[in-house]
Amino acid sequence: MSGPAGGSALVEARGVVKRFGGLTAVHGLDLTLREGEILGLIGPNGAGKTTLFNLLSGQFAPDAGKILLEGREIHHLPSHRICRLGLARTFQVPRPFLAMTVSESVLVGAQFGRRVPGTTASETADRCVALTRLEPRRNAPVHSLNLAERKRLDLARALATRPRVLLVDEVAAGLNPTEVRETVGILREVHAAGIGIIYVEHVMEAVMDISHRVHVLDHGATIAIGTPAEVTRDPAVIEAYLGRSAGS
Amino acid sequence: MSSFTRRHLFLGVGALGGLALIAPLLLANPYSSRLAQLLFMNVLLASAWNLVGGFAGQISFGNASLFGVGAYATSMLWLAGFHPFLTMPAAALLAALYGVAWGWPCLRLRGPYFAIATIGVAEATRIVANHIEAAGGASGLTLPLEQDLGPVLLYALGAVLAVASVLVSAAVRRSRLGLGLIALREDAQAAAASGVNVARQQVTVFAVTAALTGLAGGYYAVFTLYVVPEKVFGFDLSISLVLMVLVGGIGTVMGPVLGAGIYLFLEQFVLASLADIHLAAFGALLIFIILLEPRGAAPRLAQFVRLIRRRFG
Amino acid sequence: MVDLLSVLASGILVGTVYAYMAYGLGLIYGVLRVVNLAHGAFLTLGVYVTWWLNTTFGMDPLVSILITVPLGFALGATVERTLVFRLRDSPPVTTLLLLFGVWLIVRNALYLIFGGADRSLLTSYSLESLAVGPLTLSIPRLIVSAFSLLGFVVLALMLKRTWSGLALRAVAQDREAAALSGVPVNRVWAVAFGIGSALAMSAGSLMSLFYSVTPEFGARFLLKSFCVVVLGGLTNIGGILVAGIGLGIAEDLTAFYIHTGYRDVVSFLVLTAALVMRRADSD
Repeated sequence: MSGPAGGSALVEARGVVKRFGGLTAVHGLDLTLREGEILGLIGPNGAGKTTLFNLLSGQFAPDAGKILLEGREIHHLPSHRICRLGLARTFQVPRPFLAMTVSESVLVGAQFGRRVPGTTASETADRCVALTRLEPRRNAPVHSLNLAERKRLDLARALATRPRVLLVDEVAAGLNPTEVRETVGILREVHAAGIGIIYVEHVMEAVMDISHRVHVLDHGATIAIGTPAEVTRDPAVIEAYLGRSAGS
Repeated sequence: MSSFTRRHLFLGVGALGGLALIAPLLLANPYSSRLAQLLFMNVLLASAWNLVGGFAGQISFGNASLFGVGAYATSMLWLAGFHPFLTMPAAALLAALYGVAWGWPCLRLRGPYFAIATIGVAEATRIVANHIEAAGGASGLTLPLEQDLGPVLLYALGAVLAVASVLVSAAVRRSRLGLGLIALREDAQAAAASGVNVARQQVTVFAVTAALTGLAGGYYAVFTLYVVPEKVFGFDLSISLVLMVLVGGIGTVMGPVLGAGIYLFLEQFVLASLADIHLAAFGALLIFIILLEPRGAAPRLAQFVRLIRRRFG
Repeated sequence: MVDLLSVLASGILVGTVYAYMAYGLGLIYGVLRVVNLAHGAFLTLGVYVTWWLNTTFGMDPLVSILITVPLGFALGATVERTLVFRLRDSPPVTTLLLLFGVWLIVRNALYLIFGGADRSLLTSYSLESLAVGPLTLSIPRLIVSAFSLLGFVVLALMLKRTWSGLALRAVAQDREAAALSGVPVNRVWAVAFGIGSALAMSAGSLMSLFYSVTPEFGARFLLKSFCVVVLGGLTNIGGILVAGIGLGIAEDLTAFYIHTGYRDVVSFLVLTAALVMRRADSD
């Protein structure tokens, strides 16, 4: 897949810091997602990937630094405002609305997300249900879904908010190889529709397969940025992964 | 998602027609008309509570503070010379304002924390009300008996208010607001990440809850002609609402209606004969529902109706 | 100046009791994540048992602590084993309602047994007082305050130094991890509920020295207990002590400088404000 080299920045984090009590989870981090790009975000456990997602999506406010979405500062905004400006996310462990059906859940995103003139909420919801291959389960109660379906439902709900940027948190973890391939296929379609993606993943084949660039974190700081091929050869990255995994 | 359909309007008019047809039966004597008034009031209260307690999942033990504001608003305006019907909008408005005033900060809390905060607000309100001399202090206000609206008007007013509250509840359930409320009840963070303004949705629905509860207070003042802080701001009232909704079926449109009826029946016919142990009987009922039938009677009834339909339809 | 000092002194004395009274609620919340709405029932029960022992056998309220502690423990553990236990995986609000049901039943039982009249007891030292400089301090309040502090020390040592204390803290921090490390979580829950209820009942014994009681007694003090634990940080012993004393002082200042009738409004408003400011997220 060809990488769009010089696209303008969709999402930019500048010098972002997040502390929890005495622990600094993110140390003055800079990160850029360019227009039309899939950015892989990897790093060992505890590197700060999920914390960074929570900062970008407004679940946490940063202690210092700025976050910009299409040039606009968003780090002081609450989650729902950020979502309506066009940044949506999935969760590492899917967080479904258990009392609803599949189509109702997706409708939540469509009703409350970014407003795009010319389409109705239910059309958007239908499109996202179809895109995530949940069509056969559209009237099923959410609590009857299996893990793979719940992950796709999270994705559908996020897409229904009509984002410009999608943050995907470990959507392939815990799935079998067929399901992983299917999920990667969905992400490709999302990208083809012009949505920028930041993709956190432990399943390396998946993330290396579709990312244009990979951003590697360790201990809340950047240790490498580059194409998948460059990053896998980077000594700091090998050290961070092997140094740790040898011990665990 | 069509929010308020013609079917609802049709059902509402039908319900009012039905209530008009059985009116002569219920207006036969003072006791039965009092029962009808209490039933209408309970339906109004329980439906209102369920909007925030059932749909948004925020359990309030403090709705008496809203009821009391409505009851006092109507009483004081009536004593100042306004027609009781005209005092109703004021009761709704003042209760909604008071509800938003304390609901806005408190609804940032969730679960048991919200529940406890509502007890604090309601009890503080009750104590303060006891000390306001302009509103009669602890001895309350007595309304002019000679201006009593009479059983027919009271029945009509109650019926309209009760049916309206159920229609409001149905409309909310099917609206964008209702979808957002159920989403935030299930997972507030995920709802916010999907664009739901959690704070605004909750405060909005709480304003509706408060307005309806204030109307119930106003109606109560009009048919009892006597308001006193210990009763209209009392903790027992707040608790009885929770019980009604739990008995009937929390988070459903018809559950509160069913619960209001069951509660009235229990209160009037069962507990009255158990005067000495009525608190314990309530306690036992509460424990029984929570352990054995936490979803209330409504789902059971729906099951039963489906069964009947399958057999005969 | 003397007025202010004596208001402060009395606030501090009553505040230590508030802290002791509230601690059981915090302990139960910390370990079980359950808001014990029956806390007020145990408090009230403690006062009545103490009153009954005093009027029937002439037992000193301080001695009756030897009875209210084990009795509270047994009752609390029973409530946990028979009722609360069944709802361990339900949303916290359902347990709250369940325990409210328990409270209603206890209240009703107290009406049947003792009637609705105010009950109070008198000991040989009930009306004694001690002059300290310009201040006059009530002897029963001093004694009760000292006992509360003693109770706190015992509890703090127990939680720090004993195996059961360790188990309690482990479950409070992470129920699943504790279970995986071999802590018998079921038993710890019953024990925690038992200790919390024993604290509440013995607080009732202490409070009998200067409060009269009706079956409605618990409601007021349940809310004050909420106020203290929420302000003090649920399971933090030191924080709860400070919060109890803070509430005691705030109430006495209000009663003295504004209006006695508004004494209780303070705790409710402080409670709500504290909750809202903490923005404690529960689920």
